[in-house]
Amino acid sequence: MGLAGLHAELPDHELVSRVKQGHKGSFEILFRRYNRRILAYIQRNIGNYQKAEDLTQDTFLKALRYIHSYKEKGRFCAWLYTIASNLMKNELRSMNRRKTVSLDAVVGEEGQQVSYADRIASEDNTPDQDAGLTELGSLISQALTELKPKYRQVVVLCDIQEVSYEEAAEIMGCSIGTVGSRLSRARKMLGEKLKNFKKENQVL
Amino acid sequence: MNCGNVEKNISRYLDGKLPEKTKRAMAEHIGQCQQCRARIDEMVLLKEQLRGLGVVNPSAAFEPSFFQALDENWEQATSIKPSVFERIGFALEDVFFKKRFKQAAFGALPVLCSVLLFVFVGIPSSHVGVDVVRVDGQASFARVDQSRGALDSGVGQAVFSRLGRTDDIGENCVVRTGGDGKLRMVVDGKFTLDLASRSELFISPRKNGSYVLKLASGMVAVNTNKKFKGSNLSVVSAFSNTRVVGTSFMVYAWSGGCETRVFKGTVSVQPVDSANGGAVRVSAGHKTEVLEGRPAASPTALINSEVDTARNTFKFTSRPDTSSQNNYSVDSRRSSSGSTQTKVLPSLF
Repeated sequence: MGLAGLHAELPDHELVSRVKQGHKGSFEILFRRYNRRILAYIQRNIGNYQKAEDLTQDTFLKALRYIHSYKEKGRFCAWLYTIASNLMKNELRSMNRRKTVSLDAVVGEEGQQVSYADRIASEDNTPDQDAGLTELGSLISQALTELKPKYRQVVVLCDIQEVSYEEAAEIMGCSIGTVGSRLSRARKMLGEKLKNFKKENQVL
Repeated sequence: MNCGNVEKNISRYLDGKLPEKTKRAMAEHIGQCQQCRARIDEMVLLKEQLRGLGVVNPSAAFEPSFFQALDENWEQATSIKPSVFERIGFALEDVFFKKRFKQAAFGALPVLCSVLLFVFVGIPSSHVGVDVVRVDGQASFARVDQSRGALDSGVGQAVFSRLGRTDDIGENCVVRTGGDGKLRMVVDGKFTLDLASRSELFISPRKNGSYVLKLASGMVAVNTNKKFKGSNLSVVSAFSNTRVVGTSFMVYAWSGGCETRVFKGTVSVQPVDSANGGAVRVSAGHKTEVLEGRPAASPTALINSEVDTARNTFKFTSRPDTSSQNNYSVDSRRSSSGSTQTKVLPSLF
């Protein structure tokens, strides 16, 4: 068992204090512990897998940059969600500013021209397939992307990442009551969308 | 409870966030209403399905690329420490927002108050420093061991041969000037002392932050710093006790008496009981009052004396201090007509 293996069982706050003392291995353990959850959180929110990986990396690097200012007021994981949320917010803002391109627009070299829609459809090994998602899982994922960001975020936090109302309120920067009401509306909307998708795709 | 209310509260019901009373009413309704039961089942299923989306497997290149980025950023990121202000902020956060710190803070409040009180009211007397600004001729100083009532000549005695700061002059120190010596020094950054030749001055810082300067012989001129409340300073000679209320003044003591000259502000002069008829003079501008030994019980003659000569620009009012029969205050202020005149400050150089 290597040094990292010895520390792998340590609680978050122990690892954080080791990082503060300059122990790089502890940060690697924290990364391994949470990267898949942070990646899922970002990916479910912004939908773009490649971007989600980039933002996950940025989240951890930012966490490292501000590790001295981290106070153990809540779970380390919740702090990571907060950083990720801020990065995501900026990303969504800049995505909205970018010019949109029609899916029917033609791209590619001469002779091999395809539309954006075809190109996206032909991309092999989408992450959902990697994660072994069922058809139903893909439908939920699709339904999620159709929700407004604030509703999507609360569902991703509370139902997918199973974060408490209190933590969600801190991450989203709103009150606990707001989390409750947003979640209620978001679940209702999501349920309806899913019902429609199921009808269309005849999935049980 | 009706179906509409159930629909409204269904989300909080499943998360266990409803008050007990509403929860009971809802459970009762769901037990009877098949439609609402089906709705609940739908929601439970949705929650189950969402839970399965909690983890996304990263691409094969993700982890190696992060560790490479970590290597590149490690040095820089770990070298950045929070600034002093950030640290203070974090410390305050700790004190005010964490429960265990809250308790500690309230527990420590009396201790903190006493420490603050001590810091503001009582300056530790053992840490007094003097800055020697100027020396002409010979001047020396020595720490005094008050408990033995004698000069501790072995320790701390030095000749002011060069300018500079002398920290920690002790509970008491004596400064002497030779026949041709003159000395200017700043005590704790609070007031400046000019000591004339053949003078001997004891500087005694008190625990409450005040200073007592005992002038054994010679002449001392005092200029108090604006930030220093002058009322914390008094000059004592064999014949009088001069208390300061933020001012510039000079005290001259000789074998037969003493004189206090006021340049700016107010001093209150109290002849010492044991003066045995020695002359105590108080002057401001060109006006001099002589208080001999114990003055009269009601020195009304000193009230509102006005002086206006060609050369001086001061008017002063001397008045009896009602708190003590033997006190006289001399108030020296520049008159309006004298506003263009040069400022006169006590200086022996």
